[in-house]
Amino acid sequence: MGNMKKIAYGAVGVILLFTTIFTGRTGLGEENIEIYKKALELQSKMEGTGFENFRLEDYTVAFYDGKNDYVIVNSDTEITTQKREPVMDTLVATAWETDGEYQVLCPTVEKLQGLVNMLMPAAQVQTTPEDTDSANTDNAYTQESHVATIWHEAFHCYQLTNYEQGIEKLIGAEDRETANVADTNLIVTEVDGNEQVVNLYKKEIALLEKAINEDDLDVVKEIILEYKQLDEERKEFLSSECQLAEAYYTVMEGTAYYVEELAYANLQQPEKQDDRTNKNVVWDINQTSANDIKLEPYTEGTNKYYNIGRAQCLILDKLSPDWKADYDFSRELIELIYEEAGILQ
Amino acid sequence: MIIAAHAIKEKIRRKELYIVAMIGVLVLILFSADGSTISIAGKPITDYDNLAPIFLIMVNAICGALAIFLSLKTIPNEYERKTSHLVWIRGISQTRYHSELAIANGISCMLAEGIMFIGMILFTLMKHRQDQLWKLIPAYFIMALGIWIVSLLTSLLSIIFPGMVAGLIAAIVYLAGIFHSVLELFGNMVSGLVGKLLDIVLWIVPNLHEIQAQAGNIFTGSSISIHVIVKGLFIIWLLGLGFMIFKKKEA
Repeated sequence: MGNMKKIAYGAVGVILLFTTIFTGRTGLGEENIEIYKKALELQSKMEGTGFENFRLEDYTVAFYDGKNDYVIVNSDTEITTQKREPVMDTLVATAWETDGEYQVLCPTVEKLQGLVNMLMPAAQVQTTPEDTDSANTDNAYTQESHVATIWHEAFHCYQLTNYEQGIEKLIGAEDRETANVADTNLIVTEVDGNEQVVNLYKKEIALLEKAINEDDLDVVKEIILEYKQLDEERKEFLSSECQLAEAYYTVMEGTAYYVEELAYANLQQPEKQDDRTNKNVVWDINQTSANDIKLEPYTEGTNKYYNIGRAQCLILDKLSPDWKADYDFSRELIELIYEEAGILQ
Repeated sequence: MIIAAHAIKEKIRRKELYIVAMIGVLVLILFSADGSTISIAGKPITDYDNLAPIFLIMVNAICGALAIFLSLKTIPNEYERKTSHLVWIRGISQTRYHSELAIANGISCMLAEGIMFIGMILFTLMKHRQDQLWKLIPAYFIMALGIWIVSLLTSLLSIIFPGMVAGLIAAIVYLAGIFHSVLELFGNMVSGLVGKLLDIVLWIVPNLHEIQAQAGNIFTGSSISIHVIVKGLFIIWLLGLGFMIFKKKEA
């Protein structure tokens, strides 16, 4: 190769290298900032949740793009980001104690979409509304899903920042960090591994669904009584450690899921279908009631407690709309339900 | 470019190009026949807008494998048949000789891709979506970038390593390339040594899935990343540089 050709080849390489660097994205993708803005805009609507002083803007939110964390800096005039070493170098949305405070750590929307698409291929497929026989977008991870996830994790920050003592009382431990309540093995062996427990749980979920969608409070109370009998029967199979683990997950995740779904419902257009349940949802926050809600079926692992806890929140909304105002996470939601329904333990 | 032209002619004469490409077309036709459907999560996917990107994934996967098959033996065969000596006596440098053979491989792979795209054209016509035909042109050239990368890499490896080793490395890089995004996510989920090792591997391996995804974006209406395209061209440039650096000892 002649010298001129070599120079020309080198020049092409230099141009390509600089163009590659120049066109490469640095910093947090704009879509994530938009999502954060959307989440903040929900604040006024979310105040209707009734949890005392729960505000998203009180908690630091950081997006993890697979390499770095981008901490959102929300000044009065603009929203910017600050790059830092990742606190958790893994794809997980969580509330984590960082720099002396609980922060929302979540992957970027691009990463989570990639993850959902990988785990649930149907989520990649888009369909037209009339194409009802084809795969739908039930599982699609959207901007709205991400907004709801941020609210979910911010609620965990709220719980852990303000109600550490209440949570410790709930699990009967002096130190939440060292308590063994988050041990999912107990759930797997004692709950999921026992057919009788699973069957009782399925019946309980059906009763919860019935109670949520029932407007007559007397009928709701009857359902709760039936639920109580089943729940007591079920708990006889479980060790006290396992029962504490259940209480922990149901309260912590159930309430956070309730907030998450509320955020999600608030993002939907009025009378639009809730993509997660395929039902027409009319969710009037002022009346704190929900109609025609379908609970997710029994699932193994801890996911069922999100579902059950949320359902219990919705029942409490019916029985005592102000229940959240002084709730300190020290008691099981079902205890409050029995109390409000006038059923003695 | 006489050597390249000669090598392409030989590939056409030996019909290996057609045989492998026809296998690919057959798969595509079977795939797009009226009776067959793709089911995702138990539900059939039948509409063109959703199927086209899925077809591109298949074309990409098949063409990548074809690129290894078509490129692996070209240069070693020249040495085996002592054709190389006829080149040396004409004073042609090894760099030029290898480069032209590699270019011939790349063009052959693009021809194979072209034959595969005939399947895509048929599929588009069968679905009565003539309005989408133009999209096949940019999709073809974008996907060609990934195919060139695999072909050039295989050609380069065939200079450095013996046949089996070169083929194996090319196959590993190709598989890691088309599953790059999946591996990237996996790497984000695992920590420690495995995570770090994966990071290094993925830094080296070109993201072939990302390139193919840009072609898919043409059909879904999503924006195309210029960065991905330029990066693909830069990788091709780097591989080209490899032909200047690596020489064959037997020469």
